[in-house]
Amino acid sequence: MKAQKHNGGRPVKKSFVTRYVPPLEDYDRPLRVGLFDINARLENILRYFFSENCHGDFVVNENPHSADICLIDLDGLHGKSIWARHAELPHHSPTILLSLHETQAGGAIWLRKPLQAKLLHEVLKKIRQQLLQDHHQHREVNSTTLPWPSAETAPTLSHRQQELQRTIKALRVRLAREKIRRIELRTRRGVEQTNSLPPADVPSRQVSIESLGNKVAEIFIGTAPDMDLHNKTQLAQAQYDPQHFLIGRVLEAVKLAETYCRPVSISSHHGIITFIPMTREVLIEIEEQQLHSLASQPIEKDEYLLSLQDSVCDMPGRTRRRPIEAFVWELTLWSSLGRMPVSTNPHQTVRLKHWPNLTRLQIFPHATRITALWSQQKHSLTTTAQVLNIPQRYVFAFYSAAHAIGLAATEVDMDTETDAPAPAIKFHGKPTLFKRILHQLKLH
Amino acid sequence: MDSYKILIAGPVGAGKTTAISSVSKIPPLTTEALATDITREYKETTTVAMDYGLMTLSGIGTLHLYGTPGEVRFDFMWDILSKGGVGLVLLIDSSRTDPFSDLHFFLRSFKKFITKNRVAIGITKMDLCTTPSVDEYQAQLRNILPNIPVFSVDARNHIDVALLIEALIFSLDPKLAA
Repeated sequence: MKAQKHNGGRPVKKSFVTRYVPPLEDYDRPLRVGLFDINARLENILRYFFSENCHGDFVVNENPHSADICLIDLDGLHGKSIWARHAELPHHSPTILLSLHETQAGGAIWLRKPLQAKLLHEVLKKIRQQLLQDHHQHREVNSTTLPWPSAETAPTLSHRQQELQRTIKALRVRLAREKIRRIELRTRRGVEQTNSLPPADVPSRQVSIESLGNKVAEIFIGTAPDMDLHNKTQLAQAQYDPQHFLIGRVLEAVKLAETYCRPVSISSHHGIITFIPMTREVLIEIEEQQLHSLASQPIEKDEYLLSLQDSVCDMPGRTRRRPIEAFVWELTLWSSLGRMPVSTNPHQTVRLKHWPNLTRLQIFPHATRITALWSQQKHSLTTTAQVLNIPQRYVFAFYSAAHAIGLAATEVDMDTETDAPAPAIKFHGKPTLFKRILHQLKLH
Repeated sequence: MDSYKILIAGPVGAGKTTAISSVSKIPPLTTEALATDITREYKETTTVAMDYGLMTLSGIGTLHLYGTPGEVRFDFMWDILSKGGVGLVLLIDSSRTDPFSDLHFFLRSFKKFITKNRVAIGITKMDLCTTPSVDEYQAQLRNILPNIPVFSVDARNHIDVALLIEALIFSLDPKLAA
C-alpha cells in the first residue's frame, strides 16, 4: 500500500494549535500516540493539541512502543532507522510519518512538515475509525471480549441502559482528561519532584542539554572525588596512561594514517577498526557496547595489531562509519573516566587551539563552560575547577578528550613541541649578524 | 534569573526561522511573506521583518531570540533589532555558492555589534554540502575573531541550536551558572 499524501499545498504558519479547533466528538477512551524522534518543542505542542483541541481523544503515551498509533519524525536523527525497524514488525501499529520531503512508505501515512493541525486531526480520526472497526470485527469473532459501547449497539439497549452508558462514557472522558492534566502539571513542575504519580508516567525525554549530559556523565566521567593534586599519590590516581588503553593504539593508528595518507587498521579478535585519513572517517566492526567495554579496560601486549591498508572494505550492516574526531573524543572519555593523561601537569596553563565542534561530539555537563573559559582566559586544570566551581573530573575528562583530538595542551607540552624540531646550531667566537637574527627568532 | 536578548542572523535560507522554532518554548512569532524575487529559488516564503522566540536555559535565565531578515534589502532591520542585544548567533548556509563570502559579509555588517558583544557561528546544511569543513571556517576566522564557537548545526535539531546558544551565553561569562 502506498502512503497517503497530505501535503495540503502551502506551508502553515507557526500557530499550529490556536488556529484550528476540531469539532468535539465523544469517544470511549483516548488513543495512545507514541512519539518517535519528535523534538521536545513539537512534543509539547502535540500534548497541548491532544488535550485541549482534540478534547482528550488522543494522549501521548510515555512508552511509545506500546502505543496505538506511532508518530515518527523521519527528518530526525534516528527517524529513518526507527521507521525501518518498525516497518519490519509483522503487526505494527498505524503509523504517521512526518517529513519535509514526500515519502513513499508502505503502510504508513505521510504528513508534510510543518504540520497542519487540521490534516493531522483528520488522519488521526481515520485511524481511530479503522481501529474501532478492527475492534468490532475482533469482538464479533471473540464473544468473550469485554463490550465496547458503540452507536451500533445503542438502539437495542433500553433507555435506562443508554443513559447509564452515556454517563460511563462521560466519566471515562473526564478521567482521561484529568490524567492528561496531571501529567501536564507535573511536567511543568519538573520531573525531578517526587509525587504520587507512578514513575511510568514521567516523560522519557528531557529538554535541557545539561540534563541530557547528566544521563551519560556518570558512565563517561565516573564519580571520582576531587584530589589534592600536590599530593603525589592522589595525583597518580587522577591520571591514566593512554598507552595502556585502546585509545593509545587508536592515536597511533590515526597518526600513522595521516603520515602515510593511507588507511590503517587495528585488528584484534574482537574485530577491526579502520581509519581512513582521506575522508577523516573510521569504519568500526565492533559492537558499540563491546567497544565501550574494551575502551575502559587496560590492553594486553600485542592484543591490537596495526597495519597499513591499500583499500578499504565497507560492509553495510556490519561496519559503522563515524568521523575520526568524534570517535577519538568518545573513546578517550571512556578510557580516561574523569582522569587526565599521565604526563599532564595540572598546575600548568592550558592552551586551547579553538572551540571543538561540540554539536558533533559526545556532550557532557560543563563542557561548554570549560571551553568558554579556556578560550578567554589562561587557567590550569586545577584553577579551572576552582573558578567554575565544578568537580575536577569534568575538567580532566574535557582536557583528555580535547588533548586527544589535538585541540588542547598545557604550555609545557607546547614548549616541548616547539623546542623539539629546533636545530641544534652551535656558534663559536663573536656574535655575528646571522646569530643575532637567530637570537631574535629564538632559534638560539 | 536574568533575561538576555540574542540576535540570530545569516543569509536567506540559512535556517534562522527554523532554528528559533526548534528551541522556542512558545509558538514563535514570525513575519513570513511569499517570496517574489530571487529568494523564491531557495524557498516559498521569507522573513520580512523579524522572528521572535523565547527560550529558557536552566540556571541562567530567559533568552529572547530575535531573528533578522536574511535579505539585504531589509538590512535596516538588522540595526533596529541589534539594539539591546548581548550576542549574535550567525548561521551560515554551507550549501550556498560562496559561504566564506557570506561569512565575511555578515561579520562586516555586524562589525559594530560584534566588537561590543559576543558571536557564535553555526554552519547549517552540512548534510547537503560537507565542504568547507568546520576547521576551514575556523581557519578563516583565526585572524579576525579567534576563539569563538563554530559548530556544524542542523537548524531543525533542538540540541544543536540550544548548544550553540549555550556556547554564546557562556562566552559572555563562563561562570554564569556557577
